[in-house]
Amino acid sequence: MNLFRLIFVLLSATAIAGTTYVAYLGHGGESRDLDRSIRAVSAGRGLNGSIK
Amino acid sequence: MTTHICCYCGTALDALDSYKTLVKFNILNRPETPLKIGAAGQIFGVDYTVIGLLEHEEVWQGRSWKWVDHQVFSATHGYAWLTLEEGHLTFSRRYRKPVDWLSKTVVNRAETRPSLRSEGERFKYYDTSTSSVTYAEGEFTWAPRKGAKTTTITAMSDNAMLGFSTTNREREIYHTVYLEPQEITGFDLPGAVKPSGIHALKKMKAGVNAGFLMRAGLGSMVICLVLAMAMFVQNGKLADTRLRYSVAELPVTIAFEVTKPGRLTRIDLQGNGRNSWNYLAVELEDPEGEVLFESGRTVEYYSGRDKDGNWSEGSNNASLAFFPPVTGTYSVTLDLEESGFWAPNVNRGSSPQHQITQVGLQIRNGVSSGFWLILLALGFGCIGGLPLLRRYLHNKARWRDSDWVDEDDD
Amino acid sequence: MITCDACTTTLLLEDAGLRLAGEQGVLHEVPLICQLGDELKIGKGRYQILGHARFSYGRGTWDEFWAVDTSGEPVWISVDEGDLILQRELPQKDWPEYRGALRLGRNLRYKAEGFRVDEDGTGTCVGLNGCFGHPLTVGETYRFLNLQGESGTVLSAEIADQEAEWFIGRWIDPFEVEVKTE
Repeated sequence: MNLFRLIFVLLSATAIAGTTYVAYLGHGGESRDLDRSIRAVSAGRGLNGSIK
Repeated sequence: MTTHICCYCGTALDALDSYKTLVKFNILNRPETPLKIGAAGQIFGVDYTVIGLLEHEEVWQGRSWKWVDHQVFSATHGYAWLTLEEGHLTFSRRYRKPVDWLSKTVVNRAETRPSLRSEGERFKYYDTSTSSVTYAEGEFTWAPRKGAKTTTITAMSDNAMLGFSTTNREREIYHTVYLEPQEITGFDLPGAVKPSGIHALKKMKAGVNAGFLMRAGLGSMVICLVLAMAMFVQNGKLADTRLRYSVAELPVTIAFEVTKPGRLTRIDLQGNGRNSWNYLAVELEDPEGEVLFESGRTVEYYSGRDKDGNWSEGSNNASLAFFPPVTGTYSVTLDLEESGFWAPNVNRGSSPQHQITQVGLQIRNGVSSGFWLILLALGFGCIGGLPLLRRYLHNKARWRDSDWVDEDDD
Repeated sequence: MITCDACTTTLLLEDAGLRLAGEQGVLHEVPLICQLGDELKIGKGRYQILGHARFSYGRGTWDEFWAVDTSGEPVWISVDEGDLILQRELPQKDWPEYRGALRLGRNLRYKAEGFRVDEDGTGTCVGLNGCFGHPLTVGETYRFLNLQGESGTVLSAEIADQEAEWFIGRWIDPFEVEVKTE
C-alpha cells in the first residue's frame, strides 16, 4: 500500500460518501422546468393583490 | 559446432568435415550492428559471447526486410541467438519440449486463427515468412548456405514466441523472448539502443499501480451503482394518503406537510385516459402563500393494434420534484388545463378513445435520487477502464503485424 | 566404482572387495553448469552429483554426470555444449526392438512414439572423477547412438564390444536448472 494508493482510497471514499449524502437528499432528481418567477396566475388564487 | 566462416575471406568451412569449403560470403556486405563478434556480456545473468553474425532477408511482394541474428555461446547454457530488429532485442534458443508441429497445411486450412499449447502456455498463430541468409561470418551450429530458403511459422503467447522453421527437410523449433534493457548487460552495447514502436514480443510494462487503479476504479464504480440503485428505490414517505379526484372536481387545492426541508419532495400524478393527452397544471405555494412555481405535466397514453400486433406508447404517470425551502404547510393546486384526443386513421375499433376522468395524486417527502451517484460511477469507470484500455491497445499493437486473416473478413 | 584422488586410480567396489580398474585420466577445469558434489534442482527432482566423466569424440568433448535422485535411483546427466539430457538406464526387458542395424536417420517406434537416429558416433573416455554406478575405464571407446522422439523423449544407446546399454530421458533447459554447490 503506497502513498498513491492510500490517497486514492481516501479520496474515493470521501467522494462516494459525499455523493451518497447528496443523493440521499434527493439532488439530481429535481425537475428542471419549474418556473420560479411569478407570472400571470392561472387556475389559482393569485397573489392576493400584493406584488413583492 | 559445425561451421566456421572465415572473417577474412568469408568462406564457410565445414568444421566436421575437415573444414571443407561450403560457400563464400562477401565480407564487404557485413551488416551494421552494434554487437560485434567477440563481444561478451550477460543475458538473464548468464555469460554469453557473440561468436557469429548472420543476416537474413525476406522478400515478399516486391518489398524486402533484413535483420541480423547474432550467434551467442555460453559454456554453461549452450548456444542461443540474439536478434536485433529496429532497436528491439530478442533472445532465441532451441526448443526441445514436447509440442505439436505447426505446419503450413494446418495454417492454410484453418478457418480461425490456429493455436497450440505447450508447457501450459497457449500460442496463437502470428505469421509465416520465408527468408534466406544473405551474409554470414563467424561460428555457427549449422551450415548457412547462401540462397537456401527457410520457412518459419511463428506462434505467440503472452510471454514468448515459438518459431517452427523448415529448411529443405530439416525442422527446428525456436523459443524467443523479448529482452528488456535490464536483462542484457555488456556486449559493448552503446548506452541506449532506442527501440522504435512496439515489438510484437514486448510485454506491456504497466505502471506499478495500474492493477490497483483498475480494481479500485471498477470496484468503486460497482459500489456507486449499488448505492444509486438503493437511492432509486428510496421513495421517502407519503405526505398524505393517496388522493383521487374526478376531473369534474378540478381545480383542487391540496395542503400537505413538510417536516424536513432540504429533502426532495415529489408529486406523482396519474391519469386514466386512453389515446388522449392531458395537460395538468400544477401550482405550488409555500407556507407563507408565495407561489413557488407554476408548471404542469402532460399525462398521455396511447395504444392500439396494427398488423404487427399490440402496441402502446406513453405513460399515464407523470411527476415533478422540488426542494421545499422551509418546513410548514404547502399547498398544491391541480387543474386540467388542456386535453385532446389522438386517433389513428385505421383500426378505430381497436383504439378506443377515452377522456381522462380521474386524476390520481400522491406526494412523497424525502425522496432520494441516484443521479449523481451514476455520474460518479461513470467517473470511476473511466479511471478503472483506463488501464484496461491501455492493455487492449498495447495488445492490438503487438498483433498488428500478424498476417492472419479470418476467412470471413475479406 | 570410485576414483581415488590420491593416486588417480579407479577402483571397482565389488562384493569381494576392491579391484583395480584403471587410471583416472585428466579432467581439465572447464566452465560447466555444474560439477562434482553439486546438487541440481530440476523441476520437482533433486539430483546429487556423485560422478563426473568426460568423453571425447575427436574434435571435442562432452561430459556425463552420474547422480542419484531423492529416492536413491541413479540418473545420468549428459552435458554437451550447454545442452542437458537427463536419462535413466533401461532394464534389458524394456529395450527398444528393431530389426537390422541402427544407423543415422533410421526410424524406430518405441512405446507409441516415433524416434529417429540423430547421432551416431564414437566416444572415448578421457577422464573420471567420483563414483559411478557401473564400471568405466579411461581410454575405453564406446559407440553411442542418440535417438530423438517426436514428443521430446531421448533414447540413447551405448555399445562397447558386444555389450549394450540403453537409456531413456529428455532434454533439460539449462535455465530451468538450479545448481547448489557444496
